[in-house]
Amino acid sequence: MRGGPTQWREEMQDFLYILWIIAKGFIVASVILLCGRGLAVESKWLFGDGKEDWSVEVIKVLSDLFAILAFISLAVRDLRKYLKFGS
Amino acid sequence: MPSEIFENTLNSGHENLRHFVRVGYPALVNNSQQLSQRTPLNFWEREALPVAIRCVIFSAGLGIYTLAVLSLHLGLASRAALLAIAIVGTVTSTWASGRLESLVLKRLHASKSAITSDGHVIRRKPDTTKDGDPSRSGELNDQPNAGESETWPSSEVGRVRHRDVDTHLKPGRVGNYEFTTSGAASGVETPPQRHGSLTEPQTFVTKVAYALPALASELGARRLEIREAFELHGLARETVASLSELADIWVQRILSDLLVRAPTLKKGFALLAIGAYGRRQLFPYSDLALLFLFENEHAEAGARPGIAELSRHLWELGFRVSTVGRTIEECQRIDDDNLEFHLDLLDRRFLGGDHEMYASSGSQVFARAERRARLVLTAQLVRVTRQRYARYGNTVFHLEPNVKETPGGMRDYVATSWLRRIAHDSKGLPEHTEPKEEQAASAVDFLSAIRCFLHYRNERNDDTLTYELQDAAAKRGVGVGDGVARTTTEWMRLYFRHAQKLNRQLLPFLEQKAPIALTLRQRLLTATRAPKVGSDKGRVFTVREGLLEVIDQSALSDSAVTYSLFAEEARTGTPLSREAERCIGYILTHPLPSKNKPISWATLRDILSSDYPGVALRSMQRLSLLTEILPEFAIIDSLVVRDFYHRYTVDEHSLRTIEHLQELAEPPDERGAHFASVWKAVGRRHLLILSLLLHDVGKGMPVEDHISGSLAALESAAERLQLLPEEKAEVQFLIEHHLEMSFILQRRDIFDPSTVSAFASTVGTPERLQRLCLMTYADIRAVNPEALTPWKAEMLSQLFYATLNHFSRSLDNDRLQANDEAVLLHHLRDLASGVNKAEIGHFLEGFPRRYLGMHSAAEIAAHFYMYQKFSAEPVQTELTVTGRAFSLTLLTVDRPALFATVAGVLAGWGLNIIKADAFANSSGVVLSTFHFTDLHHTLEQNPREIERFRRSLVDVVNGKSPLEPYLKRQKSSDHALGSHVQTRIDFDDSASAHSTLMQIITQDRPGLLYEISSALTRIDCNVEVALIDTENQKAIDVFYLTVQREKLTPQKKELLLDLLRRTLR
Repeated sequence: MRGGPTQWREEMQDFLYILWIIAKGFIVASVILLCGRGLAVESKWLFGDGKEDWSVEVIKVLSDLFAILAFISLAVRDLRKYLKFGS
Repeated sequence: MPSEIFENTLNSGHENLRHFVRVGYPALVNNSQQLSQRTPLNFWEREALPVAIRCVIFSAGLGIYTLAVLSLHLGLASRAALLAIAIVGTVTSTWASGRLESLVLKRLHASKSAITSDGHVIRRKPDTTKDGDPSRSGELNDQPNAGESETWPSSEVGRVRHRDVDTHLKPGRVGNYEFTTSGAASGVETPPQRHGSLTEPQTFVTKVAYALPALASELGARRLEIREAFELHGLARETVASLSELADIWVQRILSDLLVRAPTLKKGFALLAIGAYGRRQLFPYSDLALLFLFENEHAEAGARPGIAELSRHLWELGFRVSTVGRTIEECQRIDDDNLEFHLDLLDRRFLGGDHEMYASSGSQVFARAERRARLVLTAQLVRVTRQRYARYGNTVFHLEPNVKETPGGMRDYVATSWLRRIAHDSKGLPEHTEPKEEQAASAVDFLSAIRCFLHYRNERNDDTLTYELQDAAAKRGVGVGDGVARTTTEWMRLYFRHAQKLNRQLLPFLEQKAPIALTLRQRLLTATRAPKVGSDKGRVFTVREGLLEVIDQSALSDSAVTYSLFAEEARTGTPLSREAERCIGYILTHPLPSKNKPISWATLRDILSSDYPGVALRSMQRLSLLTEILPEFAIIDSLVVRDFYHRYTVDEHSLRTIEHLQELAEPPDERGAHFASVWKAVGRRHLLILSLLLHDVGKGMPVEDHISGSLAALESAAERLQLLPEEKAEVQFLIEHHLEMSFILQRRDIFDPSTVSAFASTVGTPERLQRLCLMTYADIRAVNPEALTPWKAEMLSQLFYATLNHFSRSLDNDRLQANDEAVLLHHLRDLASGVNKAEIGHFLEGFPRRYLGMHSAAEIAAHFYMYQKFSAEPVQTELTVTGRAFSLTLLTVDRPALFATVAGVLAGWGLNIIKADAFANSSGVVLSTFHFTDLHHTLEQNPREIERFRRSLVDVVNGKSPLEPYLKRQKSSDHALGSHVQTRIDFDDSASAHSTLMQIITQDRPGLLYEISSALTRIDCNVEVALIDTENQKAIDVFYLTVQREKLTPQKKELLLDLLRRTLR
């Protein structure tokens, strides 16, 4: 029989597991974004006062891109596993 | 004295241990791999590592990119290089993070394992031993020497059967646990130890070893009692239950002894029975599958010495134990590599230990894990069952079946109950009813009795019901209940009946499509919506998920509707669903007399001549309808005929022959490919299939030669089905000569023309040759899967083509003389009432004898009707649809370029000729038959066009309208296919007394026949006889040609050859 408390519990557990996958992705993305910002600040110091702003921007954009990629790669891995075996 | 016993045990134990490490260990590992697999990684290793790896990799990528930007500023790199680094870095980082993760996790697994000197990987538990020695205590997960085996001496203490393959185990190691010896204490050489420091082993070993001989004799006496009870009463259910109960008592007795001595085990440890033992189906020599369940790894480490002793004592008491240890956390993880363990776990039963732990957490964990992995477990079970079925040829009907493994064996029952349990709360799975349970119970009792009998007879876990044991079991009436002796045939029929019952209960589950994991959206938003099923008003049946389903069950009360369902099966190859079969089965047992008419030959003929007769006949056999229609078949129902070559019962063999033929539509291998074109071209398939159904019926009769028995069966069948005389004669011929080609292949030189000529004269016509060849192919192939070797298939094909060639060359000389065909004339006169023999004789006079072989009496009668209407309309045509192709019959007076004209019109209409023949009688009347496919579906989709096509054909043949406009319609893409077949043109003057035979083999294409016949017309060649055939892309055309009623001169031949080469280029 579908429905009922058991199913509700299972659904909730599934939902929490998805949240956990997303949270992990956010952790990875945040670390990379922080690194990116850090490098951008460092490069600004290296290249001089605002003269080479474009390269700082490039590093920022790339760090965003890397963060998204890391998020996706981790999430895809976890979701594949989840869809096969559950949480 | 006790110390002596102990020393002896230890000595033999040490000797055996070495033997075990050398031979038994690899085999054990191989077979217990599934059971012993587990994941040693903890939560942080599983979850946090991937996160960390991605952080490191992507940050490193970012760092490199920053350096690249820096180098741009310093003038060391260009912007293009920067862009390239950005792209490569993005891709590489994504790839590297995944790769590194799998590498690190693999290493982590490996770091928790140690490789022994003999090449076995032993997984180390998380460091629980004090000294952390990696070679101590663990379990096996891989080994390179799989398959190594050796016979053990009969004095062995015990054998372990992991999964299905016997492996042998000596004292020294039990299941996944190494037992500890205390040899050092008693001055005996000590085998290498795997365990760490143990606190109390000596106490256990000494005390239990002391009592063992007395315990073993007590247990032996009880086992003997159970065996005697079985032999006296033959009650399997009681025997199996008693054996399980006995095992329970002793396992619990030893366990409680252990718990008294090691009170620490009372917490955090439980002993469970799993698999067959768990469901209380312990046969005399079955394994005792035990699960040691621990609350956590700490509990496992503490309990290890004790459980090793427990296992060893069970072995020494004669139980064949198969053990596995798991923590609760490990049990909730269901992965690809431990699915079989989880299937065994479905039959768990608590035996002893910490019940509170088991009840409060253990059982909940199991239930939750099973609910979650329901789809994966079902898919795995279905996959494993299908593999098992394939191993046993997908049939219940084996001459020497394995009562456990073959389809219909005990494994089917277990798989059914597992699938039911896994699916108990999901919708859409086959319903389980009490009658089904009752049926299964009687079958299980019967098969259980056989298994007990076999185990006791063989004194080992061997479930093969050999011929010898069949006799012995039948004499004792094993499983029947009354103990009255039966004949072996009778008793085996009972066996197959019961096996079929179990098989039928499992098949509905296998028919379901393999469960697919739901999408994320589906899983999160599981809707209660049921799939919407469209209404099928007015239809009795429909196709759902590749199966025929009955919509209107009440319509089945009319047997005509039921037969139409089988006809649909045979036409499309779509099998009936189990539910539809159940409905038909019910109706058949509760018939309405008014609507229960016996099947007519016409209906049966439709079924037998379809593309998939085997599918329909298989369903009919399952429903016992086949024996109702053809009672002669009942005599071979589940009949075991002992034969060195045959693998299946006679009825199964007969049905398999038909299935092998229908497979030829898409030949499964090279052996079949030789005969695929013959199967596609063969006419009157129903006669071939009927012959195959009856060809071995004689094996069930008390006659010396089964062929004479089968012919006697044909007599009664032909009378009941009202077969036409020529149909009966054809079936008779095929049955009588069904071993002829096999005989020639084995005993004669098939390359000797006299052999071919003698065989051709026996067969008579090419059409009959086709049927006999297919029958021989199917008959050999259905003996057993290896019976038709590629070489034998090749030889059979060569004999077929050599004989066919012989027919083509002798065709023109063998003309009909009406006076010699009195029987035929008489029969034709019956069919065509109101005409006299002389008229029919006049029509037939001069046709090649082959004409009779290619057309039935009814067709010849139809041709004669056309001949009679000649005076009103000089060109008679008839167009019929025959399955995949159209068939055009044209009767007219011979005229120049007639064949070319008809071929031209057909080509102009975009119709591709696949087969044709043209015969002329002595009064110059030509009868041409063209079989063609409608390439552009012009006639198929526009029925009105058929009349226009016929009119245009008659007008062109009569000369009322020109052919050229039609030829202009022909597409220029005719040659698009290119030439894959090498063109070959041969002439032979010796084949006929007054014609030259020309054979053309070339690439087939639309309009080909028109091109060839136009070339013939151009040099004034007259076509006396034409035989056109197509094999896939190869056109094989044979013409008997004359020029002014003479053979072709060498100059004409040269001219024709040149012309044809240019045409066919």
